[in-house]
Amino acid sequence: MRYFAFLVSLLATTGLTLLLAWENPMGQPLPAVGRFFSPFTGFWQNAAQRDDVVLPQEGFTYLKAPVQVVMDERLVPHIFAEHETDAIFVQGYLMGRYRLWQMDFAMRAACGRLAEILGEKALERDIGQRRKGMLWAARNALTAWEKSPEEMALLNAFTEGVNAYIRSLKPAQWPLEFKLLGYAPEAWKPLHSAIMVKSMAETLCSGNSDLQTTNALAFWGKELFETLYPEYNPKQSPVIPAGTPWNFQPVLPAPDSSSPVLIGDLFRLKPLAGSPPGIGSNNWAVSGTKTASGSPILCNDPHLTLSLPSIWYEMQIHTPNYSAYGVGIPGLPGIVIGFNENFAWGVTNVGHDVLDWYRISWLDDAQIRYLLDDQPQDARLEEEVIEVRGRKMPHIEKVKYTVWGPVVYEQANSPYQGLAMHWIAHEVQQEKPFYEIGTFIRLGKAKTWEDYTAALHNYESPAQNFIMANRLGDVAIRVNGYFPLKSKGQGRYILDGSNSANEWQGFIPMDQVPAVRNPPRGFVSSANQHSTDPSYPYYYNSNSFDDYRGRIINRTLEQKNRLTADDMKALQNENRSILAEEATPLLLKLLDRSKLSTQEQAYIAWLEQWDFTFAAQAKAPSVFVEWLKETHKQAFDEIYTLPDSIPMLRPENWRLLDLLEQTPDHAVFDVKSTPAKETAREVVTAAFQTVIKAWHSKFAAAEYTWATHKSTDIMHLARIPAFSRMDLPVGGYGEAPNAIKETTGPSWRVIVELGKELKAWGIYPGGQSGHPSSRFYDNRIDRWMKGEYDELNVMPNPKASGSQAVLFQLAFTPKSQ
Amino acid sequence: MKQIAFILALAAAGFGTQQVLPWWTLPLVAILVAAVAGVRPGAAFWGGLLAGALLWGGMAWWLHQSGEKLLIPRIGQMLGGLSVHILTLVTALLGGLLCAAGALTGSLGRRLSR
Repeated sequence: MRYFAFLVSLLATTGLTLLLAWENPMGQPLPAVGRFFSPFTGFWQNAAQRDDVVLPQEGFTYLKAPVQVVMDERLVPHIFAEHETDAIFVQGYLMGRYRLWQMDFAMRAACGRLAEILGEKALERDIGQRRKGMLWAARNALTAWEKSPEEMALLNAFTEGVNAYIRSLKPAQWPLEFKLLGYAPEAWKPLHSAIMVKSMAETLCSGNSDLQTTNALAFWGKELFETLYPEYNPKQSPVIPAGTPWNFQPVLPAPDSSSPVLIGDLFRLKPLAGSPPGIGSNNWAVSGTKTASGSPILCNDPHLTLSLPSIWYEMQIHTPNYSAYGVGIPGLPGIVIGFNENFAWGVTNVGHDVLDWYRISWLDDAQIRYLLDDQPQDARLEEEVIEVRGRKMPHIEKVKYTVWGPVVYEQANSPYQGLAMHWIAHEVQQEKPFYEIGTFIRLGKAKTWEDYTAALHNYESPAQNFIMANRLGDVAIRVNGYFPLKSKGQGRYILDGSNSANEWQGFIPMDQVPAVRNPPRGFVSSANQHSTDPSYPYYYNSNSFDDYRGRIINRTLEQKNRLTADDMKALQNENRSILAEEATPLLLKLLDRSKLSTQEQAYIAWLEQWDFTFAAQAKAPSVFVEWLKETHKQAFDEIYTLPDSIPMLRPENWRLLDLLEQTPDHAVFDVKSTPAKETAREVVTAAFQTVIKAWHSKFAAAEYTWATHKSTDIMHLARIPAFSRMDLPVGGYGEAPNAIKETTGPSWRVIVELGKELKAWGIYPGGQSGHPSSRFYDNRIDRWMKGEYDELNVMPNPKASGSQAVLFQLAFTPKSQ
Repeated sequence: MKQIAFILALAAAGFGTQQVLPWWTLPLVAILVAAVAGVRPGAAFWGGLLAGALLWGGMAWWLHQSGEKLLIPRIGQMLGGLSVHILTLVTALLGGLLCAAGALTGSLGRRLSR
């Protein structure tokens, strides 16, 4: 009996312990309950971690000299180092301390290694990333960078810094998300930073709609296609002011060298997941002739996915040669958008189509041999090994590489069809003294326009509108990056991969990219619109060019003189949209009021009294947005009724408005499902009625505002609502300068005035710490929503903290020999 | 008196060993302390429950108090809307059960050798 009781008790103890030690319980990527709940190892440990305490900084073998870090009251580090690489080492260490899990997760997401930690549910996404060659591209980049001592010194310093921090951690101290997902931090590698550069390229320059455009051409026929999808919006206000002379001899491609567009069956493919629509940015720099102080002012606000932890990490890097302040990306050395006492720079995305698809003509059932210029070629097979949590064996994904690049799509209509991806960020870079990371470091040291041009000369992708201002009074912008040399229309559609004449014909020479310095209008600006007017001698295209933000920015800057930093703040937070200014009166004019019920009529007053501003509390914007969307849908009902399996390009809003205004009787407005012949008037009226019918119950509620309708979320990267900020009461609109949308928006607003005394302001929707346990995790969101700014404090030395309180200091010392 | 000494001894031994050993060694510590102390099975179970609850619950509470008190409400929300108190109680209960089961086993084991 005694033995029996003992055995039962022993079994119960063992059973309980094993139950609590069950890893991946119920097949979920979760930790063992015992480890997660134990206050000695689990989440309770993170509850006590504070971001504002001095941790022991023991001797570091990497450091050449001591490094002093002053943490200001916003947890912004001011790094003071004798040597640049020492500063970058400490940058890596601090990004590790405050953003380690974010770096690990973002790196895995970019290169297709999420299934390793999330299991089956992430496998399909990983396969997509691998087939796109993200890991391959990063390896290619690193191979080139390894030949550049400058680039590698920066990468190694950063890597050593991150790893010094990782080594200092006991498992009980790992960031919370590692414990929650039950995996260990991995040592950082230079390859991981290369992956982050390619991730930027994926976000910013992998957008394309070749598939959708090819289908649109086949569906509508050439004439109607050209009416619906013109490449240039005549109302456009391009990045380089119209009329700017091109002082160079262009290297023009052979005319019409590429073979004709493939027209035939519609391509039925699921397009790869791309960046969310809404990625974009604004920047402008105003010369001293137009400012109240007489000093140039530079402004930038990149619109990216709103996330927690935040995309940006703010810092100052001070060495004897320079002192740069700004924001960088966790996982990358240096500062991406910033300034020093003499010079400021910023970026917006260029958005040219630098990713083209080539249809492969397979010659065998195994789809290994393909045709190129009447000769058979063998595709190179690469095995991508994807570890999947919960599986014993990894998933092996076989990817075929052709002369064009990886065959990403293989499930096309015919078994002999495949689409290969040709992307600028896949290109093997030539040997150069420095690359993308070196570019940003050099911008941090720049003083003159010449420094800026020299730094940008080696920067390939993702192409950016690099804007600058300096204390000497220059303002300038360069549409900078590698752009394929294309004949007109080349790469707008899927290309025939069996003809080598369809290859890009080289690149636009770096001294011939669109650029302007000190234009007569006294400012430079960009907002992802067309780079140039049609007089630029090279062909480029995109379906994501902005049509409205750039125009309102340029209009505002042209109209005003004696501009101040407050004017700049107002412009960055401007919720008014030219799209609404132009579309609302037009739609109201076309609306047949005799057909409307009293209830429907009531909404007209909202729109008639509207100031075209997408304020959080406004009521009219929701009606406008839904009405425009529904008008588009009913006008182009032909394509909305197609099955989802056929990706189809939609005409742009500006084109819809032009057609409504100029050709209201156009055949496209006839709704195919009705016997009557509709014109613009019927379409607009029916759309209005549809919208009011669907939305009346919501629109009529007093508390239902534009902010409710839009519903902006800042999600945690692992999509945990408890770590996110949801349904923010905030205004803004994708076609207004303050481009806050559902999941994207101004991820950093910065204003720099380069006067005798440097002044700068900035804010981002998050906080310096990636730890949900910290008051610095999301502390800036409320002020960001209100359009407020923090004054950025550039410290000349560790003792001069200026007006800002110092939270604590860190002293990093080299290991004594 | 012996019961209180047992509870304190187990909590102290648990606290000491948990600094360096993995969490699943806690029941082993309870087995050993109960066997050495020679407490009766009932006293071992309830004493173990209390000691484990004090250890995990107390530690959890102390960690929450010494931080910025922002994380545990978020964890509670993530786990379906648990309050800080409930989360502390759940943690205390888990630690308590691990120690109770271990202590009972230790006590019953010692009786075998008599």
